[in-house]
Amino acid sequence: MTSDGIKLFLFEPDEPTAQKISKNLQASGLQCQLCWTSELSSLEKDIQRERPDLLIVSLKAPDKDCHTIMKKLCSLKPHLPVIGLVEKGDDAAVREAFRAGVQDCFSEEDFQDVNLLRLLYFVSEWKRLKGALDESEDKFRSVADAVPIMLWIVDETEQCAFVNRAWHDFTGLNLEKSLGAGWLDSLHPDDRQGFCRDLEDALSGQQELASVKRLRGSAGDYHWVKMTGVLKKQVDGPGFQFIGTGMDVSEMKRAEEMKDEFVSTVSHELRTPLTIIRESVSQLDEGLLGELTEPQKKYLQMSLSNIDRLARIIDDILDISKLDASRLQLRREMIDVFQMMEEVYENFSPQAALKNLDFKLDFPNKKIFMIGDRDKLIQVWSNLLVNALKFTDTGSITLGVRESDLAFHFSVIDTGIGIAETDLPKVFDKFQQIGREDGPGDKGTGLGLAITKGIVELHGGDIQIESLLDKGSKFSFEIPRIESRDVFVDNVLVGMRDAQENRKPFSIVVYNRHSHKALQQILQGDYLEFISKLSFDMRSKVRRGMDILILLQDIFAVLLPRTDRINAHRAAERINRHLKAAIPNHISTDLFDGGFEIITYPEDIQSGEELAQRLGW
Amino acid sequence: MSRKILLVDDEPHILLVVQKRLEHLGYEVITANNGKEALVAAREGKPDLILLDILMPEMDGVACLQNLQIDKDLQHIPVVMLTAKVQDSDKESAINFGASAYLIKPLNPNDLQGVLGTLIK
Repeated sequence: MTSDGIKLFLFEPDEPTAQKISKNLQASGLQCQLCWTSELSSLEKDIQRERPDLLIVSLKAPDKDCHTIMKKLCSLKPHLPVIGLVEKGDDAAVREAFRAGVQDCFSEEDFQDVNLLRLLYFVSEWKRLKGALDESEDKFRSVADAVPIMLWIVDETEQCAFVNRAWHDFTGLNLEKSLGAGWLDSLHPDDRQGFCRDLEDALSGQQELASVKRLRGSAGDYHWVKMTGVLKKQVDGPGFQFIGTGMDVSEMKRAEEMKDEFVSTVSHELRTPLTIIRESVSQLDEGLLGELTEPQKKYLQMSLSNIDRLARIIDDILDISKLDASRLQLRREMIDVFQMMEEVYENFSPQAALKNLDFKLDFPNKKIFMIGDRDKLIQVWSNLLVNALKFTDTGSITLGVRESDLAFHFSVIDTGIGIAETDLPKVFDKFQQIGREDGPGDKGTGLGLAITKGIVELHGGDIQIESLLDKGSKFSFEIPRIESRDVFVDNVLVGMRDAQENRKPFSIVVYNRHSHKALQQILQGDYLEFISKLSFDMRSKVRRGMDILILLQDIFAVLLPRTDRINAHRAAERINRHLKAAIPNHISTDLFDGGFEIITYPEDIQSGEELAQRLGW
Repeated sequence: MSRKILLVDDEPHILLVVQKRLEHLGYEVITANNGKEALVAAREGKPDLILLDILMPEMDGVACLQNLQIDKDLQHIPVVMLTAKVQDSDKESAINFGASAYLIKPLNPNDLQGVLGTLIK
């Protein structure tokens, strides 16, 4: 240990005491420097000028208590070790000094010999560690400033403790302005609440943060920035903090939007000529334009099936592009599972009969109701069945359904050619056509199973395949149960986000909840069946447009995206007429005379919380 | 007496083939090339149903639909959209504005027949 170059600074109002300490120090023969002041008022300046390694503070100052002095010192330089000087035997003062933050306490009598040696050793160790810490901090800062990605550290109360140069360059806010709550200023006012919610969610779930929000650039324009963060336990506190990054994804988002737009334009542009071709060929084939010979008919039918294949490819590409961009949205409703499966079964039984296959429906002896997107689930079944039919020439195809407390379990089992083990991991990849090369029948698009997987995952579910070559395949997927309230809130949030992005209003028609409860009481056990049938009837009445209707256990509401209050009223009147017509005779339609309430975003509500409040949740 | 359908599309070949299809199904057909012409044709021809494209010059299908809905003489005529626009939002806004059904191109003759059957009694 060396005491060379160590500088002590003494605050002691009593001059004789100060001289005694100085003498003791000299007598010890240790090489260190001592500065002294008796003035508390000039202490700050003195410390700044002298830059000591240790502060020795008399806590016996006549008119100041220990706490006030310590507090002042802490505000001056927090990383300077402080030793308190107290009266010998004044244990109370020692206790208070430690509480106030000193590193150690001595009486002036103790301040000599071995104690001094010990103190100097402590200071030199402190200096060494502080140097290492400074160096490490310096290294961290250089690295943090050298990376082009924004870095930030925020504690769980959303107070910022650190930002790097990239942040500064991007936002124009320096460290000082970003610290504390200042950094939140950079977030788009509409995104601030959402981001804080994302932070809270990550914290409560102890998960990583991933959130794309708008951040103001130094020129005042907003960019989409992907913020990620990992949780770390605080070293000097009880809570957690986020170590986060921010990456400008505006360009990526723009490119994605351009790709999306391109795909949807191309899909749109292809449809009109395809309609003309399809209709012409179809009318020729049907003999609308004159009798045809058999070979001519055969060629036209071949054209027709390939035109339909082209149309499917266009649909699939549009779907997969939406799935990639997370833009495929579910329209969930109450589904009578048996009724849905029957529809699928009916659609495919002619083809199964044509191949002489045993086509079976394995259904429990009990009605099953689930919340899901009916059209999309039918798409899943269709994709799986097209597949099964293509690869099965003898034996059977079985559609299976089971329910458990947590989920619905579905399966398609065939006795077809199966898939080699090495090909199994690729089955759900895009543009994979396993066993297709010399397989019979229509060629697929290579997207069907990728879309199937995407739809199942959108439902929060999971899909698997088991297969044995020459024995057959089993596709099974499960969809977890979901609360109707969650679906409602989900859809409302999607509607609000869409409204916000497109600067268009968004309306919700909520039907009288009492009538809803009354209906539940009348129907009792048949209620779910009634709801799913009503939902289905309404959709077939107004066909696809009724996607917007939500008929669930405890919510009776219609969401009307991009619709203002006036148009919402018109739509609601129309829906009301259909509703009344769809309700069976033995149930009084008075139930729906209780009326409805129209809630419009952003006029009436600004957030999901406000809606919940409005609905009395 | 055969039922009359007003077919509106800016693409002459679409008019040609869909007209043929409709006539084959037993309907009388009148045509218009855009929304503006459609409003005139609807007033003069008094069709039982209107088959309406969305993307058209002069006046598009959604604007035409809105005009039909506020016209006391025309608002009772069911309108079926026949369009290449497949976004849910397009579909939703057409239905919100009062369209009775929404058919997507390329046209499936069975779907067309089904929709016409339910809407024209």
